[in-house]
Amino acid sequence: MPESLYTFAAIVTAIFIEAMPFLAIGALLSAAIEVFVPTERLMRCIPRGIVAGIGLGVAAGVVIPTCECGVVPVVRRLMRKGVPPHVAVAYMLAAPIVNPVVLASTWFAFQGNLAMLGGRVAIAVITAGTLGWVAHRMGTILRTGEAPSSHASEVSSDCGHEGHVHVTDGLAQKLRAVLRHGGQEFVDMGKFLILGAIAAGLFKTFLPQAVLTAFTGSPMLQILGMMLLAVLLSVCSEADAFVAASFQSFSPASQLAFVTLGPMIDLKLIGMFAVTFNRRFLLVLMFGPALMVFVLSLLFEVLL
Amino acid sequence: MTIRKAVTIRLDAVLLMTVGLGTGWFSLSANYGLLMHPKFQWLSLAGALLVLAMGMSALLSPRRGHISGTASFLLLLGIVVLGKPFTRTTASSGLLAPPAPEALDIDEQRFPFKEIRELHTAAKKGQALDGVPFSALGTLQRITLPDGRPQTVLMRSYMACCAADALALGFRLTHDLETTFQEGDWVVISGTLSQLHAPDPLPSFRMGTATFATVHEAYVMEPTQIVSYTTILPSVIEQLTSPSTALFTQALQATDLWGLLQGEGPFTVFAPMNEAFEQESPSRDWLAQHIVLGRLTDKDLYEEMDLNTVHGRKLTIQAENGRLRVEGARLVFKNKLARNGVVHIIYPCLDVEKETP
Repeated sequence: MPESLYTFAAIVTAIFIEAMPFLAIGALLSAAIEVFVPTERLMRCIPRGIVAGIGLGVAAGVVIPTCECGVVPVVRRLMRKGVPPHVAVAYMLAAPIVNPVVLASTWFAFQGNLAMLGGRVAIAVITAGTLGWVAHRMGTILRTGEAPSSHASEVSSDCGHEGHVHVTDGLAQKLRAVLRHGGQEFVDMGKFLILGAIAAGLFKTFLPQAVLTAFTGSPMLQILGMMLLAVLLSVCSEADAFVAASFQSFSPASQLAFVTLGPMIDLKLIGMFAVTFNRRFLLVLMFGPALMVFVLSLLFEVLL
Repeated sequence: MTIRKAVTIRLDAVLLMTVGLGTGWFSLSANYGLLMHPKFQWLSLAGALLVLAMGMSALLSPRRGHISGTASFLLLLGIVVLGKPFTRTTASSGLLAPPAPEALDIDEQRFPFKEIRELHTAAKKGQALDGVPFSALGTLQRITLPDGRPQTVLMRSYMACCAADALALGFRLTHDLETTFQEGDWVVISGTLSQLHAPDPLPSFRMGTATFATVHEAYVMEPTQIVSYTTILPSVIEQLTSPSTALFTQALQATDLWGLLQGEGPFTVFAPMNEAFEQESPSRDWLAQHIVLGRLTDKDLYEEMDLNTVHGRKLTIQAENGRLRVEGARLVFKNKLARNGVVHIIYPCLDVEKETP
């Protein structure tokens, strides 16, 4: 067997096994929201103001630790239940970075470098807030067929039991429904995880080393190179700081760009976004964070 | 319900259960460390149980399936079956350190054990590591330097979470170990680090699942002892069985010096090549002048003026234009490391008296 086939298979399988528990938890959490949380109660928790809503989204990322693989199904479900786009998008982009586990790994990877830790949180919060505001301005961001329903909690559109009312079910039935919805969500999102893992595996196995070397010229090129790598390598947000720190020939600003862009957009997320958001917002998600991270990392380079 | 829908529904459930069972089995297997950091074993097992539960639920309650989802999971299954990432190969050798066998004899008092990553981090922080003694575990790799020269390096792969984020770090070795070890051999090297005054730029390379393997540019490792997991270093007499020194070896075997060289030593032997060996039956004393007590690599020889042979006579070292000569003989193949010494192959013979002085 060629060594490259083994390496490719190892990377694809490793990405899947690493993300699988988070995707399963995200899918089940999403299903639990569907089955257990009535829309009215959920909506009562959402503040009216945009800034407060974005603040809630970011803060939710700190209290509900979710990595990037698990956050998309949760956000998809929240939005289908009517949670405003700015809250959901701010949560989706900030949660994989501002959660305590990722903050701790960043601290260790950069050996207690407060500038890197603070820079990562600041860029994540600013980008998540800005994209949340853009989502609010755009109004409709969900894909056709994913539109919020006024009674989404009562009527499930994809459990195979059209018209089934979960609120009247007993606990055992509700738990079974959570597993059914979770399984559906897991397969729906899992296919994009698999395709993303395959793409990342191909890049990691066959990407010529010279590509990376070509980006070591100027600070701007270094940032762009590390951003490209963040998208291609699709490393989990809990591990990406260690990977970034190992790129010793790259500047701290470019390492910061790597750890802030990767959790917001990478190969395995693009598919998940595509099945959730409409084409217009998908484009915003693909290019907005990249632009923001580039500008803010450049600012970091100038200031520090 | 169409046949396609029925197949998709059941296949989805079966695939979910396969994923659950497969990852559950793998999370409990000894090879888990090949793909994932062992600290996540419980998480993988928990995830596997959740997926298994979802699969069982899907099997019991028919639901709408999607052919694309089913196809993706089948694709993953195909990749796993074809690539067998759960098995040990040379590509995975850098990730899973073998357990230390009892035969490993490392002087940790003199050479404290360090992780290669630890040494890289210390160097990055600006700590002076020149001359610092250490022992480090890693695999031997051969790389090609930018100028085309081959170079032996000691590498170690590390993963934060999984094999996809694996990175490899290492140091160049001052000795070429190509003849003694194979690429991928696990070894523990005891020695010191030496700082280069003019570091060479070294491009990163791919090593197994580590997309980027980085060799430190400013420091090189100078091994004093190498203990291999797969090949315990040969002894001095084993190093002397090379065909290029057969005549010298035959002459040694006829004397008590052969028995001496089987001892703990350490010894440094200057073995003349066959082409340089003129005498049919050299005396024991002449042969004894080729054996020095102590393990002296070429670097050590640069720092010595005279060497005391087991015969009692002194050997004179000359260094001209960076080239070493021992009693007029060149070191043609130097630093053939042995567990009880080192062998240098020389040409011509040492210019020493053939009879007892």
